[in-house]
Amino acid sequence: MSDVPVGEQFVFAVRDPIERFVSGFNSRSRKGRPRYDEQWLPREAAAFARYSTPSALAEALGREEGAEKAYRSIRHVSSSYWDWLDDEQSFLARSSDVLMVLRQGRLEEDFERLCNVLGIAATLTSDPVGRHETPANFKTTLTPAAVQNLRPFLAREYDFLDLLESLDL
Amino acid sequence: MSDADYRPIHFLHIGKTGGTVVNGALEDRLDECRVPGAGCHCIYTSIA
Repeated sequence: MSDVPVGEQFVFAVRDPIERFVSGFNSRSRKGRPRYDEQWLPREAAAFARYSTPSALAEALGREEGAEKAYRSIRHVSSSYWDWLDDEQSFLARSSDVLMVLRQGRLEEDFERLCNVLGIAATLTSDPVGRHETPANFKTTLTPAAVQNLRPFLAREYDFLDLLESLDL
Repeated sequence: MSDADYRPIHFLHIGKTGGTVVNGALEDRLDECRVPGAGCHCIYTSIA
């Protein structure tokens, strides 16, 4: 956000932080393939050697030494909404520059709304590779314990979503 | 139109939020869009 000049409008999308964790883990575990091919950092390789599924990593958080280090080693998993939106005070100061916030869970509907605001006719591709979708053979479910362990790690992410709601964004 | 007639619209591409597909749909289109009431065209930038 700090790269956007004050007074210029911007758009972004958000999703449920737990879903984002799962998607991020699986994306990096396959090195972003097939759409991308971004090699692991050494710390990511170590994390994936130890934890092969998002649930395995999340279940280990707070229970196994090294699990938090693995969590913080994986790109997308370790990134936060605040990496883009700076901090609450900064975001509040820029909230009038937010043209729209799209929700990944209703992306088609929100994208259509954005296009209407922008006055353009555009559609989202249905190609799974173009959408960078998680292939069907990847595990996307979390155990209840995994969800519970993730909550403290994602607290700031939920704070951001709550802030958006409070601003009607 | 002169450069002064254009209004930038920035897309913050937050990872794993659907940004890839949105960006893919917008990046070739927003240079031709018009924001109602703004009276100007838009320049699109994506900030990853």
